[in-house]
Amino acid sequence: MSMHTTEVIRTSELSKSYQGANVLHPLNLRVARHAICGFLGPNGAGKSTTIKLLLGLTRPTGGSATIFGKDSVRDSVAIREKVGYLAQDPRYYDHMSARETLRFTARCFYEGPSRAVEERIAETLDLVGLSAKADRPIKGFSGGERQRLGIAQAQVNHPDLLILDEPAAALDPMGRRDVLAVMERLRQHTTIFYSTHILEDVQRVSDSVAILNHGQLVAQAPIAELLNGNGDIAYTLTLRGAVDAARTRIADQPWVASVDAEQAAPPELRGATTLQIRVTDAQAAEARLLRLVLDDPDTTVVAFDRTRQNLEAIFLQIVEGGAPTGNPATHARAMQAS
Amino acid sequence: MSTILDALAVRDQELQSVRAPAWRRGFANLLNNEHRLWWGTRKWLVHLLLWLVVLNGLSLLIGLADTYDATNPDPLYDTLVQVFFQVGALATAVGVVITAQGAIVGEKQLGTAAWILSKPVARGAFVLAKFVAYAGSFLALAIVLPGAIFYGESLLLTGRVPAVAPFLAGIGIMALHTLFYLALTLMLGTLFTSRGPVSGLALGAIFAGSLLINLVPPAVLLALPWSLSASAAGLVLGTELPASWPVPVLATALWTVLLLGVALWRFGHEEF
Repeated sequence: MSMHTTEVIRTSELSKSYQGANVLHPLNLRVARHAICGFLGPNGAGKSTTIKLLLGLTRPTGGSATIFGKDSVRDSVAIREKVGYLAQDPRYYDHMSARETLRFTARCFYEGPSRAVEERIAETLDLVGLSAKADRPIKGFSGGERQRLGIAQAQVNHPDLLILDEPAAALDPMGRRDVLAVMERLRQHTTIFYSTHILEDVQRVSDSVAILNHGQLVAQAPIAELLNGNGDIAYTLTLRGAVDAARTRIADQPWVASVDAEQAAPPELRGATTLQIRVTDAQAAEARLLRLVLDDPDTTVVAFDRTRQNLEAIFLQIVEGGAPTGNPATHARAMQAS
Repeated sequence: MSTILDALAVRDQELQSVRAPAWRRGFANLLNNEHRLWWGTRKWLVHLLLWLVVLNGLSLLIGLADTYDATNPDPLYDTLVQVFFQVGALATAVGVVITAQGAIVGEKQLGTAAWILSKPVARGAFVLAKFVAYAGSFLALAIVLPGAIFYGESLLLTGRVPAVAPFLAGIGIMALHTLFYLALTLMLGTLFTSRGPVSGLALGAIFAGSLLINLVPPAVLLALPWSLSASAAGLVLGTELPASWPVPVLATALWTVLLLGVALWRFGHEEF
């Protein structure tokens, strides 16, 4: 299978400007089949514009986008047959109930016996946990219920691609948890492309990430690759006692690249010092690093862990224009893409 | 477990994708939805009562007024026909503008248009469903039913009824006059993002017709719908009309099609 057939979304130099102002610079985005791709960026980065371009709700100023190999402008109706979409601020007819909303939505996709449509609606309501409120007017729904209805109407056609614009925004923690749970349940059936600024959610459910800033794609990579950072292996060691001696002993090891010290921040670690230790050989570090310190009776180990990259830190570094934390290959891909 | 999966597979096979040309994809569903808004709520009753009061109520008031000679019903008959078609055309034109002013703008403002158009629905189908539903429902409630009742009222109050063919022609012209303003309102709805300019311009066009009809050169008047109500009343009363009376009828029909075409084109280029 060629690369293109595994790509559900592919944009080529896709751009958009309003009255001469570029809101989306030429964008080359790729989303693979069955991926859950988090589309990140600060407010106003151009995420919603990109999504609207993909759906044919807005026309590109330049470039093109294909979904399932079909052009987003010429074949927009055909594309939308296979797509489910949840808008950032979804609006429905308030006089309708959830069931009526889904019936109206389903009839945009399907003909056929009412029984089959009603069964699909009931199944979708059950999926999002709205069966008990199915026949109440949606004007009385809470934010979380509206969002779950939003996912239901996006899912009622069993789409091959789900595009969700900020699906968990404005939800309380329980609402967020529910929405993420639904996304995880759907991942085996569909490709999910969703925009968000809740990085914790992205790290939890996504397998790839694209980061947009000021209308430019600044990174695009599998999440594991992005979290691996620049390939360094680092450990955090929090000590009390003869910290300077321990630091010197560690720095003298041939497999240690650098040791940085700082005062431990949490109140329960007051007076302790945290060492950030970068190593070139993870095996040697795991076998000998802790022993080097434990052998010294004047030093107490308070905490020890392998440093994990945090998506929030990576995101902030990329978006605020700091040095790219990502793998050089990832970043190069991103730069080429943007 | 396999039985359940088999049942789901059979069910899903029954669900066939909507088969319609791309340009009117989703039309039937949207039309059903519009009809539900007209006939599944109290909207139809409100309109029916309103138009019965405005059109038939006014005729009844005139007929019951003690200013006509009971032995000669002709002046009353003439007045009733004139009022029904001339005042009726003006009132229904105003009514259709007020009723349809938010049909497209409202959905753009609320965001429901963007929601609907994120589904496999043609933009043209969205506009056409509005036009067909509003046209059918409004004409039925504001012209056809009051027209039928007027026919009976006329018999009751004057002992005379209009000849059927001219009367139907008059009702047809009145309907065309209303459709023109409906198309104008929907077209303005695709151009603007708030109701103010939509209703302002459409109502302005109606009242300009009432105020300027005697100032506009006759040749220009032929291309406008402003003389239609007089033609409708004249046809029903059998008065002599100028030979050119069908020209404004044809022109209005063409304008209506043209306005709809502009609405379809503009909405096709709308950015959401």
